[in-house]
Amino acid sequence: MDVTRGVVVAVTLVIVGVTLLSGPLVPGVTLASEPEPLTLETGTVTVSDVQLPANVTLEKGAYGAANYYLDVPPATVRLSSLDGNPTLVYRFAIDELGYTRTTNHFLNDDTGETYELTLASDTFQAGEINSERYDGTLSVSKRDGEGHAEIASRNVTVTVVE
Amino acid sequence: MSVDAVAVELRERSTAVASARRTAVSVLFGDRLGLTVFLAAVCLFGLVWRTTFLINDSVTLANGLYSLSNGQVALLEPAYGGTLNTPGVNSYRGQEFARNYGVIVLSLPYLLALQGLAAVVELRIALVALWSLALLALVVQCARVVDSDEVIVGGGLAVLGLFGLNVALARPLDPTAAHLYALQLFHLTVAAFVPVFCYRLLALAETRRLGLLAAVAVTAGTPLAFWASVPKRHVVTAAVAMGVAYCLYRSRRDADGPVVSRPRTFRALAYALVGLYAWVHAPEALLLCVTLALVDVPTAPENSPRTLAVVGGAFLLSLVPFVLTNVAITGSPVKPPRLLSGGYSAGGDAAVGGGSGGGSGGGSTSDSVGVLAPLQPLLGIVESGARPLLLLVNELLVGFRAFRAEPADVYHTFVRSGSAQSTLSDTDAESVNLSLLESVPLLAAMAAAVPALVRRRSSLSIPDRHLGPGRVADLFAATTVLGIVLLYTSRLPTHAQVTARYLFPVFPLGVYLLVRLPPIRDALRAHWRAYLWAVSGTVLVGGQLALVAVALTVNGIGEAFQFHALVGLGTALPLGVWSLRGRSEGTAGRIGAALLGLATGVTLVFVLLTSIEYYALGDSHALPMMRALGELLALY
Repeated sequence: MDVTRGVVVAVTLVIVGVTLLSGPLVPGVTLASEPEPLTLETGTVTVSDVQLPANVTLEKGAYGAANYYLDVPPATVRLSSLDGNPTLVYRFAIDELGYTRTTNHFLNDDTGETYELTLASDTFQAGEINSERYDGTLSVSKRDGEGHAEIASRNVTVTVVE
Repeated sequence: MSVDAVAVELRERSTAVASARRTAVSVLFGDRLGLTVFLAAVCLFGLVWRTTFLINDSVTLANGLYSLSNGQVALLEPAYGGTLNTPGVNSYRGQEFARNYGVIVLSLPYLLALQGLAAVVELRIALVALWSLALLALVVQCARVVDSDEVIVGGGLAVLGLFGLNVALARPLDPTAAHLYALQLFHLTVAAFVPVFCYRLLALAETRRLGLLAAVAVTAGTPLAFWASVPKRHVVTAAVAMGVAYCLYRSRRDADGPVVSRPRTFRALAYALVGLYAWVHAPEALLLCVTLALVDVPTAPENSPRTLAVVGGAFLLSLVPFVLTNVAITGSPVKPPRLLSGGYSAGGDAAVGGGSGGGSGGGSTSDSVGVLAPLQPLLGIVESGARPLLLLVNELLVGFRAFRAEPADVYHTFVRSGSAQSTLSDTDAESVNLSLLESVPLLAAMAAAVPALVRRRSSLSIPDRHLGPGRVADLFAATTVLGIVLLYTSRLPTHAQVTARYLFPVFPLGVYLLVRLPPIRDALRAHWRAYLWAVSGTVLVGGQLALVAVALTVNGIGEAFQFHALVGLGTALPLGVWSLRGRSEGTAGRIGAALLGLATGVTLVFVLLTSIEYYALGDSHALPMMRALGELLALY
């Protein structure tokens, strides 16, 4: 019984003690800190190869959900050099629908040699879709210390799947 | 004073403290198991707590608390949301007022505590510490229940580990938004009493084990955890309804608790709870009051003038804060800041699907209630008392007619949401408002009422007017379920329901009624292990399968919700079929218990994934480890 009481008291004391450390009572100790803000679009990145997907679909919601869900497969890039925190931008547009979506990928030292660029998904309401196919444009560009530059782009057909 | 005398006094004092503690636990939670249920619920709600707004109705409350804490009833400035034009704000005499003043006032102590904490420690670490201490208390109570020292040692170390993990991942929490956190913590505390009342009621009416299983069912098998930390009235209504059912039960048997010595006191308490709830949401309180009176008065063992005076006195006393708030804001004792004229838009929050006309806007005090009540003595009081009642009756009739007039809407509200236009989110048109059965497939077991009633009918005798305590609680629960359903059916489906939240009180009342149905009760009693295994298996294994399925097949939040909706219906169907058969002997009982466990677990999986991923709300989880988990998961 005494051992268990000791455990409970000790755990409580540690919790309360650490909590007290976090406040202004003990200056100089910071227990909760914001992550350091990244300085973006710095350094350089060299992309040796980009593979853009060939098929983009606009598929009726699965499981009985309303709307059409845009499915753009990821693009794969091969990086030959990387330093700093450059950004790769994956962009998709359907001009006919006045639609553009870009997703920024922030690279850092942990980024491997091949990297998958994903695109955030979007939905279209049924009323907006009145064709079986649309023309879309995919592109990858980079933003680093040397400026902005498009690396690759491709025209794709967006197939509407009921 | 000699050393001996000091020792004696200290011992006496510690015995007095221990006995006060025992009394407090007994009054609030019933017994140690009730306390354990409370702590477990608090820890779960803490896990899914996100320190931001889910719906902008809560902004109104946060601004209300902000103003009140600065000494003003009227809204001062939009400290939250950037505008005072949020749902539920009404203007009287040129000033803007919030709503649900009961919860705003009762959240003040939480605000003071949080501001006090923020002055001496980092608020994030304080919340982590509070959660860890609650978990430690849970470990200690569990260890006492199973009488094991190992549980304390192992659990204590685990708590320490989790605390360390959370501190290591901690980011600062903005202390200026403490009004929101205070409201959230108040609602979270009230929500934890829903399973407590469920346990206490069924521990008395059935057995403590069934009470415990019901507490598991209501905590895991309904979206209670999801709504617990959302400053909306729903969990409060649920807790009040369960509390009233509990008090009604206790009022029908000899008092055996430590404080209350007369059953009559519990009767008075039931009415007082309803009266106090009027301070939060008057229309629902009126409904609860009517159902309570309809069930209580005709079935009471005695209605002597003295008893009625005590009960009525308690009720009137409990209405005092409500009346004072009304007088302060609207100038009329019976006109709350948000009981609406004409169409009686009970739901408030822009859910004016029914015939609310235009009365919901601020300042349209054209109804006679506001003008007549305080001035014309008797006539005014009678009229102002009768008017809300007439409006309520009218609303219930409208709800009744909706079943015939709008069968499609009723179907989308109760059975299948899918891609029905009326169920879509009004901001992005996503299918994110689940039906009642999709949210709580456990309620499919209500089908067991059919065989239970059929069997009862064959052996029916003339019913005794003086029902037993269990029957009275059953009757109150069933009548309230019916009342809530009728009150809101004509307005539903509407946006921002997520899990049919207007019908929320139906969930705990339904779970209580389920466990009272003979087939369910017998299946759970005989196969409680199968039930608990099914719940854990569904959450631990099924949860991971759901995660994989969502990651592989889902492209957005609407599809994710509908995936869970179909899984829910997929478990509701066999459960409903089993319940309809009403057999609980042998293997049939085991299957039933497993199906009940499956339905319970499915909802918890949905609630967990919703809180961590679908509605992560900018990964604003109160606990850093949950935030990290949310950041780690990217399912679509």
